[in-house]
Amino acid sequence: MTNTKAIIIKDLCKEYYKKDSSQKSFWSKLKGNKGGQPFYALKDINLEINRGEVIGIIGPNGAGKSTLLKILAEVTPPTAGSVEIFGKVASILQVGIGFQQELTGYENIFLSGNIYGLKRNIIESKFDSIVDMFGFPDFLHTPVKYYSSGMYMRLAFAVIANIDADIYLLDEVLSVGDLNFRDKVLNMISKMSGKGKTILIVTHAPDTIYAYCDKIAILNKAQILKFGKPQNCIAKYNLLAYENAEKQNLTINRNIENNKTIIDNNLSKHFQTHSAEVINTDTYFQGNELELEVKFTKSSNIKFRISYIIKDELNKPIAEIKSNITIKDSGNYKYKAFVPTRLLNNFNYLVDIFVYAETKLCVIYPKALSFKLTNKNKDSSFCMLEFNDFKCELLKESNN
Amino acid sequence: MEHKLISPKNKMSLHSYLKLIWDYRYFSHSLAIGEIKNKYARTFTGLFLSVIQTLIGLAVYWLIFGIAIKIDTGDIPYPVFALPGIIVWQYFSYLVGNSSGALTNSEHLINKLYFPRINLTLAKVLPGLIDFGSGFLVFIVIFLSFGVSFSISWLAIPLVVIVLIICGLALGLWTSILSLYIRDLSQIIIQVTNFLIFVTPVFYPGTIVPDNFRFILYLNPVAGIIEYFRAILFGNALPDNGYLIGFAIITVLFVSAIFVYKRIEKQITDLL
Repeated sequence: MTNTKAIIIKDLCKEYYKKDSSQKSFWSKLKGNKGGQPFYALKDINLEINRGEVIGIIGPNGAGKSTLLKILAEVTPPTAGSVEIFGKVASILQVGIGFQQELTGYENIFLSGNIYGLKRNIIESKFDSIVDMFGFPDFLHTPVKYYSSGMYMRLAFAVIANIDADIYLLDEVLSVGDLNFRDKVLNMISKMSGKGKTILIVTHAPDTIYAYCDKIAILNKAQILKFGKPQNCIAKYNLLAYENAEKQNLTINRNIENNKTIIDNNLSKHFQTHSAEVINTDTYFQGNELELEVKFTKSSNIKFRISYIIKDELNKPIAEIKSNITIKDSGNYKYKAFVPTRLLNNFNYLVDIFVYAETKLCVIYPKALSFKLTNKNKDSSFCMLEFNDFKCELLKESNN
Repeated sequence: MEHKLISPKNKMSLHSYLKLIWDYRYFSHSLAIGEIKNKYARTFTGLFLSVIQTLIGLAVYWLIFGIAIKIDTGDIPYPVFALPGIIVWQYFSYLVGNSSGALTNSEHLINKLYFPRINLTLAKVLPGLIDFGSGFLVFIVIFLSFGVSFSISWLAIPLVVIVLIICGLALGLWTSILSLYIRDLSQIIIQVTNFLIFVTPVFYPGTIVPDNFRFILYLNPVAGIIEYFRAILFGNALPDNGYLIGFAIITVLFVSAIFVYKRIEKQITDLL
């Protein structure tokens, strides 16, 4: 057969009913009265996946990612539409499924392998490679309940990695385990895709997988928002995340002295802020600088240092603006930092002021400043920084 | 290349459903092995636990029904008479009792894996048989020690076991389905089986039940199984044909349960 498609999804819908409580009366259930308001977990999904492609499925919580995978894995039926699958499917919706706590690692390899549909002789033929991936042959005859969670994951993963199928459905496998484990999963994905396997992977962390994906599908509110090249989708997804996220109140603390967080009481006594200001945000042109300014009084001879933490609307720190300037003598001061606006995007930003005495953090003024950049030359409006005008060089070299 | 179509309209034929169940026999098998190993792993008495349980139960019933009440069991010593009934009942109540949680306790598997859901209940067949087997060994020892002799009819024992499994499954499959709708079913089942043991000829021969109440035994498939089991073990005449009513009932229940499973198979995830 010369079919190059692995999965064809047509007009797929999945309807659920909002349940008031899990306890429903027997009669209403039997009559098929589902109770509550219907809503769509998936609505009119159309997707064609070619053989050998690695597809990342991303989207905010409740977008329907897991439901889609569950339908493909035949765990739950669709309400309408159809899915055609060409090839043997291995669905790994959870790592370590079917493990029995009281049984040894050795027994669990066969048990969970069986549950994934591997026959005993197949597991036996792959046993060495499973143990090798597991990496703790001494613990093979210890009940898995005595394993550390890391060992447990490694064993579970070693079994999964040896499942033979044409299409792999992976749900959130990257969200469990540490960086080392993630690395192994990614390694497995690239190895499998090298063998021409089709892989669907659902994840919250598109940054880690996008290099491995051929295409990405963004699901949002039960529908496919975008399906295509990873770069485009990641940008769109980040934007979506910022649109949906709970944003910080952008009004700054007018009376910043009342809203400070004191870390060190003795040292902070000697430092009083009067006001803080952002100058020069409205205009934008090449080479323009934004001025972050704070006025304060210092009443001792301890050395102070100030730094600004620039944050995005979600209160996520983006950059620290610091200098070598230390304030030695007491008196009234104005401290200014100049930030090149070309580094920042069209976005709302918040600034925290951190005050250090000697090298010790003593006061934080949270949300002391806020500003919004409106740069007509930049089209991106989400928060990932793009450095377009750094010094770069292109040199042509001779062939030898 | 395998080709699969997932669609709400897609109805499965009975033949392909049964084939699917068969294809997933390793799945049931490993669940059952896991359950058995899990049950006996790191226990002090291990497999002897079930032997001890059987013996203690037998001793109690012997004291009450054999020695105190003196139920007439003909020329067969009471313990030899009672034990087959006890192990059959044990297996039956194990299968029905555990099946009620077969689906609801495996939510983690149902939500994450594809397999015919009926296999979860089918996996309960084997763990109970271990107890049945050990109980039967105890029976043989007691049987020989009381000097009762074997008869050729023992060859029919596997047939009784098969009917027993089907009987337990017929009710077990139905309780597993119903427990999706009635969450406290497993509690109800415990109460009902505690009561039902007395309207089943476990401790007494069915023949002592007056004729006008005999129909209660006829409706009870386990009664028929125990009566036939005893007849085969002791080489007695087969019980009267009224017990066939019970077998007809379990056949209907068993077949209908499979059809119901086939029908709701896909929806089970959402019913949990």
